[in-house]
Amino acid sequence: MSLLEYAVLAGIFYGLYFALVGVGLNLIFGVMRIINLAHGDFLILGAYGAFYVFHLFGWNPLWAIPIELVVFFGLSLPLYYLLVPRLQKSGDPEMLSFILFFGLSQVIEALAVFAFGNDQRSIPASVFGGSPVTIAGQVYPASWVVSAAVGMAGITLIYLYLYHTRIGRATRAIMTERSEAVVTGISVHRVSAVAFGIGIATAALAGIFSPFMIGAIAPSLGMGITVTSFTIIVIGSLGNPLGTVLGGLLYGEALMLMQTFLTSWAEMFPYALLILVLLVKPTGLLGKAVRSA
Amino acid sequence: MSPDAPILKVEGLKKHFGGLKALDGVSFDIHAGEILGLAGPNGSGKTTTINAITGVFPIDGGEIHFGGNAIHRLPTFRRVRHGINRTFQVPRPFPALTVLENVMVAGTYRSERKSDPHRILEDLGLAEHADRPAKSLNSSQQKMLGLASALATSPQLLLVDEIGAGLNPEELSGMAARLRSYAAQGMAILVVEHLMDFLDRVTDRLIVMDAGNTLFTGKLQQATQDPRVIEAFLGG
Repeated sequence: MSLLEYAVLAGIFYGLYFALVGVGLNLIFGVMRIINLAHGDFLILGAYGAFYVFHLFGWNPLWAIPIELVVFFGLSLPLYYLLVPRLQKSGDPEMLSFILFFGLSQVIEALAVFAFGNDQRSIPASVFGGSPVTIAGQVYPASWVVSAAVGMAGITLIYLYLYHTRIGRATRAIMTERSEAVVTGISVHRVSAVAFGIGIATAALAGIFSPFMIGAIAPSLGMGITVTSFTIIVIGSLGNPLGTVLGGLLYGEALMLMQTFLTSWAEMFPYALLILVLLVKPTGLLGKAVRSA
Repeated sequence: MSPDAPILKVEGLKKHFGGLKALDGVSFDIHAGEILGLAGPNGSGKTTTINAITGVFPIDGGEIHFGGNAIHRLPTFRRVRHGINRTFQVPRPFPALTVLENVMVAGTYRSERKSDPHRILEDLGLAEHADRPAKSLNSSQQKMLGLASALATSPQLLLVDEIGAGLNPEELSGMAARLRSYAAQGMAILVVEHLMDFLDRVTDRLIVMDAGNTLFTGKLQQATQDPRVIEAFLGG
């Protein structure tokens, strides 16, 4: 088995995980047309949740999944009603959301420093079993496989929510024609609040696995993760949550191939890919124009 | 509410856009099972009246009562759930959703009076397109889809904004028959239309508006003889 095959399979694991990293940001943008610059900070908070579940209680970080989904979804609902309806009454909610959520990002980071300190934290990968996993003759850390599996499960649940539930159908209706959604009796704010909650909760879910997939965590890493998430969703398509899967896979493959063959260029290549996609197809590979002129 | 009371009562409706008085004290009512026409020159306030009744924008004065309850402070989706819905002059379906999903979304929140989206599509000749994306329909099919979505919310009051425009004579006859049949089942219908022949076929009463005011209320035949209506709308 070649190094290329190793990198390609690793890229799929990372890609599925990165799809989970980006999907919440894309769902929130798709439904509300607001840009959550605090996305990475919620992910970092999710990572700290997993860290404390492991270090304080000695539990497997997987126990953080149900706890964080409930806590982050629950907390994001009042946050939605506090911020978003006012934002959407403004003349340019998209632009204003940049400023407002940048401010929120800074607040979360400052509070995280206050609460958790500036030191980097990590969780040993051995929590998922000491043995690596062999797939197609290649050996991978178990944490990569678990992270990819949770990523795939998360994306599948979002697909089921969007395409096989009544509220999901209403969510897609708002995504395609917000003004029409209002006159068909949809409570746009209630449906949007649920989408906002799901978006934040999936960020926290991705955060649980970030110590294994991204590296040691610290409060200051949030903005960088937000930028990575943007890269992923723009490659897939801005405003189309399921396009995030393609964006995540392409990002993961690009990152792994570069890390394997051109290590020193690895950090730069995904961003070069982003610029290329924006130049060739500015709406993303699966996207259509989502902004009206 | 007494059985003889109007289902919709609009009193002194006012709406300003900057210095423009789009509605300047409009009053009228509609009874269950009645089809009321709303005509007038462009800019007279017809669509603004529909937007005010459905809550697309807040009004600056006046009151709107539906089923005996004041609704003018309710958001649009609440008015829909009370039983008011509309069609648009330019159809605005959810383009990425299928035709069936468009109707299902509209019917989602009508728990009291359930509608059958398949039957609605069948009645409006859209059943064969049920699984197609709404954006693939032509403009008259999209108008039908707009009507289907409105019907899916089981409205007691249907506001129809220039649904006849762009329809061929056969489609117009079919539409007139449909509206009469909905009214026969007790639905109140407000029809905004420029096509006088269509209004003649469907309406019980007609309101002619001009410059945000009610110019005439009565039978269409009387309207065509009214000098104010002739001067403002029909032309001499």
